[in-house]
Amino acid sequence: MTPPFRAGLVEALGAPALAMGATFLAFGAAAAEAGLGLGWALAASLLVYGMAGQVVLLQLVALPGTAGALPAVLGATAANARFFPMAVAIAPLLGGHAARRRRWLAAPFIAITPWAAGMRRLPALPEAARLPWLLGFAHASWIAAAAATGAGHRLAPHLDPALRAALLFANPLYFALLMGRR
Amino acid sequence: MTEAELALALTALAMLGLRLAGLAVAGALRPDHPFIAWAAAVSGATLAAFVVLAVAAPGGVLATVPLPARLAGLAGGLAGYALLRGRLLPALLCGLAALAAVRWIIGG
Repeated sequence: MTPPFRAGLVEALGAPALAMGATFLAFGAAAAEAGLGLGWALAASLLVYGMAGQVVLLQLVALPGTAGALPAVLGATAANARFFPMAVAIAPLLGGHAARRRRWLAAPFIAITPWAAGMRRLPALPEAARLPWLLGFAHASWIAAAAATGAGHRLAPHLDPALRAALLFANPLYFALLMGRR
Repeated sequence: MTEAELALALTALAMLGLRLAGLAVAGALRPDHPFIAWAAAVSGATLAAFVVLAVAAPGGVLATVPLPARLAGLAGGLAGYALLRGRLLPALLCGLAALAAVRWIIGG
């Protein structure tokens, strides 16, 4: 584990993991209530990895009478269409020519939490440290998202709607604070 | 494969496609190209819209939280952030505590 990777990992394990984890906890509980299995919930969190799209997907696949998978796929893709401009914007910050091939490693992790942290942190880092830093941050975020989803799925009967609503507010509040930071 | 699994698999592929397409497009442009600046502006705007929607017009279970409690959550977080010299984690907890307190007081 290189020092930049570790630095990114450690940074993710504070407020970002808490804010994101709270939302994924609520998602895991919602998936359990919709009758979807733990494997489905974990795969949605790790492979879709964008809460707006995950929520649309969950709502549409759980809706009785929805005609086929296509409406859910289109709805979730539209809700997460921001991944395209986000990937365009962060790519030049992932290091110079030397890192051009390895930059693909960041693809699965381009999501709102690592992106917002990366856009703020990466410009000040040496070019060689940027991709490892983002990958460290992203891996910690990814694991936190999976752990929170699993916990939410298990704890669903114990999470009342008021608590779940408060958990869902943690993520937008985190981004509001992050945007206020200079 | 059930319909829910198929929908998830196709969505996961579409997400990966969006991310890879973004990296590929950026790789073909110089770093100071206006399209990259435009993409950063659009991404920043979607982030701001995400926050404003969650506070002003949320959907789902968050809509059950009354507006004064949501505003208190935002104000509490920002106040905590200012008073605690920009420490994110305590500021976040201040905001959530403010939301819970106002919700409890007004009984929403």
